[in-house]
Amino acid sequence: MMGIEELFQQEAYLLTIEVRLYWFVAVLYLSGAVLGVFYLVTLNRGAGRALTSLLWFTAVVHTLLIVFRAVEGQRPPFQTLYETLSWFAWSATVTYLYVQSRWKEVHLPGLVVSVISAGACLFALFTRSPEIVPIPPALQSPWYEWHVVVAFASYAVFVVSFSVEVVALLYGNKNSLRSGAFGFPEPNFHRYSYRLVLFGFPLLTFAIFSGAAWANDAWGRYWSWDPKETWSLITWTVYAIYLHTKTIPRWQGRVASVINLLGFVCMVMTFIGVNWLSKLLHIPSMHTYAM
Amino acid sequence: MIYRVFSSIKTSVWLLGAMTVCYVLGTIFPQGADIEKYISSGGRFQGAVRLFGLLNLFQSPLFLALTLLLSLNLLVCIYDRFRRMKRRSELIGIEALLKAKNTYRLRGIKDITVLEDQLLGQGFRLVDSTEDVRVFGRGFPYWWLSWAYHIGMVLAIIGCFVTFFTAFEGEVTLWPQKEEKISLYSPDTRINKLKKRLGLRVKEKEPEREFSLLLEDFKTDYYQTIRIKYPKKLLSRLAIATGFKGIELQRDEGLYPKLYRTSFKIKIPEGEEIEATTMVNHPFRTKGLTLYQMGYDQRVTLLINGKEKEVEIFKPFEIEGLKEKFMLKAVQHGRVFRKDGTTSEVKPRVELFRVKKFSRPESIAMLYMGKAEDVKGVMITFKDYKEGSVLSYRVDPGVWIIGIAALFVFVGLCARVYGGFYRVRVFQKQGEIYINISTRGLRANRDKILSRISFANKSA
Ligand code: HEM
Repeated sequence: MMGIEELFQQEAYLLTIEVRLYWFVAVLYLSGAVLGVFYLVTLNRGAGRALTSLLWFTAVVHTLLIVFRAVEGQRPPFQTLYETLSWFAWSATVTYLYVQSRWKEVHLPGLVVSVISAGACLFALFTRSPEIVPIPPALQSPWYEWHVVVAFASYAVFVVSFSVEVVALLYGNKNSLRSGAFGFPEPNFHRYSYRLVLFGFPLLTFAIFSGAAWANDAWGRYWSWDPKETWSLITWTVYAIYLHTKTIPRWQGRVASVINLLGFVCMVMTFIGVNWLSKLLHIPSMHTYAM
Repeated sequence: MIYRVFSSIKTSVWLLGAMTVCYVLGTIFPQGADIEKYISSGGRFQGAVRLFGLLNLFQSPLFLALTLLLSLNLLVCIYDRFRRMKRRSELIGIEALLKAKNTYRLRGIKDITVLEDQLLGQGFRLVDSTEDVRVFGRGFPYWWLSWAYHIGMVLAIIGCFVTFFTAFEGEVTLWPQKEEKISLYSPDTRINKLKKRLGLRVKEKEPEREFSLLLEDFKTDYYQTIRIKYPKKLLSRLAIATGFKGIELQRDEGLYPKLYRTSFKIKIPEGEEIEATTMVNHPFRTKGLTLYQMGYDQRVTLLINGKEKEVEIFKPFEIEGLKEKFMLKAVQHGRVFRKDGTTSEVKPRVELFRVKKFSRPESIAMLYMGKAEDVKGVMITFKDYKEGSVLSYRVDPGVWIIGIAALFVFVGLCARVYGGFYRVRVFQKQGEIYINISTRGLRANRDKILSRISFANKSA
């Protein structure tokens, strides 16, 4: 049996490898972003296909990274922000690839997904420590995995919806010269982003309910209006507004698209930007909010 | 006129938008903070903060009014749609159908009954018909589902109002050998305050709902963790990424909480005494009372240059002879689960920090119980400590209503969104056969229905 010292050394060694793999994944996403920009500028179909293939490769390597981290920490790999950022990028990419596989020649949303995933990974690597933290008492609950996995599933779907919406707003227009060049299967590409939000909305609803049920189990209070909770409610409300504008003929075009983009911004705020607004406005937050 | 406004989705969109603005303000301004403290720590927009009650936004009349308006909007919509659903006709005239986007002319089929048989074979049933148009359907009508989850939403809001008026909570710290009393009744709920204001009689106490608690043991377990020296500088991090350096370990042992458990005796109102335990995520329940493990409190006795001083953890204190302010983190003691699978007892220890004005406290010494330590020329000994367990309890009659509402909303929403709903209308005009397919739900697939209709070439 290994002694404590050896165990520690082994952990440090595994952590070093894991950090390197994480950097590699970030570089792959960055390469995807560069390739996407090249595609955007040159309209070269080959570049588009290469972008999608690169994302497939990245998804495989990233899956390895996540499995590695889970085995290394011997617990679900989505506890610290360092880990959840990775999980976020991975689930968004995998969701995108699944959705993309139904279109033949549309590759452009991959650019947006690459940028977001690269951003998430680099943010983790620049600002967070890779230290493995065991599961604290507050997280030892059957709600934990469900809550997190479903919440991130909804985030992933919203990221893809955002990517499609951005691309559709800029190029999916019937009159746009590039709409044909980017291989849109139909002029109204917004339909996809709508269906994605529709798919994600019940997931976000579950994430919020399960969070409340969990808080009720752990502390007896299902809602405390803390910034993270409130931002999740904001995100939920904005997407509910989006779904409603889709039923109003005069608003279901551009107005709805803008609200969908806003929903994405709120989602990012929920995830990482919680206390940033009060800092920006120089308002003391007085909440000790551990991120 | 008012009915028209409140039965419109546009109104809901505006109201939801206004609520979103409130929520955002609620995350910017520190909720529950004291206004004087807010101002003294440099808070801005004082006028608006006072005027709109921005530090207590979610209990403010403005927010409550918005919630009531939204509820009214929902109720009117629910009523309005119910009326319309009852009168709902599945029939659409041929002229309108011909103009619709999702109407297809079928070539290759001459006999409309063949088409209808194929639809029946695909699980459709006849819903309605006239001489000209026959309507087939599959899937549960989505409008009932939408209706159901909107009702769920109203129910959830009602639950929140019940919480708002009747819920109360309390916290109790159990110190060794000190009995504490708590009650499932409070004269200070909003409803009781309202009653008092209206001049109604409100009981101050309900002895038949009182419990007393006595601490037996509060226990903490730890994991042994590995602490690393991870560089803050980007360049050093890049050096690790590119293989020039590895990650280094910190030499001292990290302890990370694994479990907090309180064992206590509880005397229920009937007089019986019960042994009880509670842990985080495992509340203790009896006779309508639920007790949650919230945290702990510690008082540490230090010997500073021979003089005793009692210190509360996480509260700044002064040391005679030194200018700065100091702080103790929590005393660590109990069992530690080590990486190699063994367990051991932690020698009680507490970390001493120097408090800085504009940055995080800086660790300056680890004090082990009974061992003197030289801190900048002052001898400090960690002599002893007392520990109390902080439990909370809460009475909230709104929870079950919200639970049921959540189920309604979630099930209705899932069925509506993930389900597959079809209405297929078939008709003939001038010898040509047409089919109109409308769908709802993500599982519905118009193309699949079309492609299963054999012998047919379709054109829109
Ligand atoms: C708390 C506020 C509300 C929430 C969270 C909410 C939620 C939703 C959601 C998620 C949808 C889209 C799913 C779908 O297409 O079925 C929807 C659709 C709809 N909502 Fe709401 N709603 C709210 C308030 C209202 C109000 C006040 C009205 C009344 C005007 C309303 C009327 C409708 C209608 C007519 C639809 C379309 C139904 C359908 O296509 O099945 N909603 N609502």
